Amino acid sequence: MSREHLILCGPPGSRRAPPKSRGGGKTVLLDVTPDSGNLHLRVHDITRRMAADLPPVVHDLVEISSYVFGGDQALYRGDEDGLDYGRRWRRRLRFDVPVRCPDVWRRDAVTGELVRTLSFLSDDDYEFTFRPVRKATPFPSYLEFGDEAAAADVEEVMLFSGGLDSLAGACEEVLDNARKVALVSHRPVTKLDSRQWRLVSDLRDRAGPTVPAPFHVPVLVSQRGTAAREYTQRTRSFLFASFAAAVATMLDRRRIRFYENGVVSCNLPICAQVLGGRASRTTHPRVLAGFERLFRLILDPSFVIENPFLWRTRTDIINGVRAAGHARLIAGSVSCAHTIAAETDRPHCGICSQCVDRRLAAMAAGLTDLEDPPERYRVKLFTDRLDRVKEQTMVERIIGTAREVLAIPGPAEFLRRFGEASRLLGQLPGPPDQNARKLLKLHRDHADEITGVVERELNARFRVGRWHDLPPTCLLRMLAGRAAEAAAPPADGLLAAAYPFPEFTPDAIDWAIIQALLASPTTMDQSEIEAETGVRGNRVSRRTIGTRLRELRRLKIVDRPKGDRGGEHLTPMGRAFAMSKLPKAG
Amino acid sequence: MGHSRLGELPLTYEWDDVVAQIAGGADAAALATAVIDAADEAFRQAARDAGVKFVFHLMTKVTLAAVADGDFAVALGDAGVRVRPQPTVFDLVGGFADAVDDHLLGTGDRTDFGEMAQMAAAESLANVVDAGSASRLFGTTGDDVREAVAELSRPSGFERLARDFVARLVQRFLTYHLSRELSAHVGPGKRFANVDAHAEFNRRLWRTCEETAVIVKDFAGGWYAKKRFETGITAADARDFVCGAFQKVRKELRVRGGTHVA
Repeated sequence: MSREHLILCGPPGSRRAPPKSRGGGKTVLLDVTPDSGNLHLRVHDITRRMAADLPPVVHDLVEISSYVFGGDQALYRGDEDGLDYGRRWRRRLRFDVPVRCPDVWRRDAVTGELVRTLSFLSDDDYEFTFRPVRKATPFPSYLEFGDEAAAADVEEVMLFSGGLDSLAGACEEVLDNARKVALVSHRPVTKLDSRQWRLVSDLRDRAGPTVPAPFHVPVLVSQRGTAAREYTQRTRSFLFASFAAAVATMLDRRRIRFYENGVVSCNLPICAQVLGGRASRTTHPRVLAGFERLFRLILDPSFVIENPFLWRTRTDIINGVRAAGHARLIAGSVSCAHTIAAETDRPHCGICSQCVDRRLAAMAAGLTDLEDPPERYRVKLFTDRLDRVKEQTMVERIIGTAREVLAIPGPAEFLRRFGEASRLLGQLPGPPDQNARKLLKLHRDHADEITGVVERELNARFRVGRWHDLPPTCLLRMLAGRAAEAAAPPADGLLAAAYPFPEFTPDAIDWAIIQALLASPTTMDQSEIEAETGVRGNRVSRRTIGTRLRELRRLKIVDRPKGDRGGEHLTPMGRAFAMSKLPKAG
Repeated sequence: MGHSRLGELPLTYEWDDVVAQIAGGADAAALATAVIDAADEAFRQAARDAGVKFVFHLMTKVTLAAVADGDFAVALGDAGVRVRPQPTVFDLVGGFADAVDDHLLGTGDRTDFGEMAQMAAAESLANVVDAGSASRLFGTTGDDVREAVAELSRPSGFERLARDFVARLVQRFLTYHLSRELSAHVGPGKRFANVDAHAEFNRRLWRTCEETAVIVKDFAGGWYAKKRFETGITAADARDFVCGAFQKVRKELRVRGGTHVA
């Protein structure tokens, strides 16, 4: 059983003495008090009228969701390379939270729904202790007030991340349906913040004088004074939904909308290592149903949460945006998961699942280079080298899974292949049989779009007939296989005949290892290689050596002639390769 | 797809050996053995996992609900699987998933092994029950589904379910590890020429798991008949079956891997 972590919430004077943590986990202290707390919470452009007479349970919801998000970010889950079978991934989180309405939050139905939904959302175990707050922070302390007129007559409240799907939802509601919409955004980092502002500004410009301009409500929740330790942020949609529900309540609305394509919402695993919440569940139908039940218990019995894009693929969504004449806005949207590493001109990493899915959908829809500029992706999906195993796994499995889906004849077979789909059947409106059929159709359409793009790219390259200028680890060559090798003209002499990777270019670390092995007449173990690299003035850590040696063995540059524990040695091919690449004397 | 969190195999001698075998062209049976050897302790933990045992026990209760007196949906509800009246295969599988999730939420016993078992069980029920009920000419009714599940309460039927479940669970265990590496061997000059070759290997691995699970089928029917009619199937019985099945599978995989060494 994993360790239990305590998250004690509220200002220092208000917290009771920390109970003993069961199992030796960490204790995290979180405080949203403006100016002094370590969790900064700010909601912009709310009007005084909106904030007046807000039920205290809404204040509680906003603070609880902030504490949950803060705790999520504060507790590191480890990475997936250690094979601990989820022991660090799944955390046991015990929250102690001061609230204005303890009688509401302590009800079994409320705590039960909160625990059930959050547990499914983030793959953690939750326990909550709610106690009466001693001195509540007035809600206006979290607010930056805005123009009263901007918030008048709002008809719909929707979540707006600045990604492609939420942009499409905003286009549909604001531009096509001419409705007055409140766009609630979470501002995780300033880079994303400015992009969201630009998109909202573009929407307002396109709306013009006759269509109601959208009312933007940016929300900031961030650690103050310390950096977040965990980047996965699986609880972010609870934070997002809670703030949106608060805004809806302020505006006397009883509905909030997420806009996300159904394939991303369901997020069925692309390979067997992706278990449970390792595949994010941000807008999973079970999660949205859970939020809805919770908000009905604490806010209003008629509260509704919808995802109007559930039965659409991303390509469908793009086609809708383009048909309505708004395709030029797409270039300003950002879908990448790696927001911290984003560059201003190249905000998309190109190799996370969101980037890959976005690029494939854009190509399937035939977006032009102006509408989805390829240069905004740091890695070109089909033609750039994929150096890391995780990158190769990501793209190869996305394509491989799509091909499997196309071969599935019916909904029962779909369930036989994707056991995770069993968690969807009862969460969607309508009978499970119908949902199974619709799920299959959705995923088949998506798979069709992906494989269509793949075939076009392969055919185009086969027509060109040139493969040797592409890195061997690029997606196109992974797809083409032997046909590409046959078409590649031979490179220089015997080396090319003997060695299939003339394009492999060792970096400084690879070279340090290769040179260490080149200089040794016998096998070397990793500690000896590490020492030798140190002597040469470019010491490489043993862990890095281990990773690189595995790759060099895959490339058949290195092997273990005396077995697993007999040390490393350059192969004859590896030796010839190394000699050919060394700078010539004179 | 949304965000997916991926990993790689640890940099240990055991896993380096598995990687070398992949690169060297070892067949599915040999690789299955290599994974079981490298993950031996994890395989033993999976056999003792509370979630795995619960899933298997719940599957036996589902089969017995079909032959209980009264309404099938009510009997399933008594077993913890809430479904609509006259449940279809999809109702059954969805209700089963919810029941496992609710139970493990309450006990705090969620692990990757339990997750593998839950998915294997959902797929197995979908496979075996659907095959049983789909033989009808004019569509599948709730009664057809009940009859198909009732068939699984006979020793011969339970053998099929147990074999299918164990095969899928073993496949999931193996691919949980192998999926962290196999894609790196796709492409020019590599073990798998292209994505299709990788898919063919996965099919062969599945066949290895199916053939291996025959060893479980052979004793599952007898075990089920004895326990069901003598004492009823308890949680302790389910635990013993799972542990026994894992032991048999380990031995059988090693035999198969040994005879298939490249």
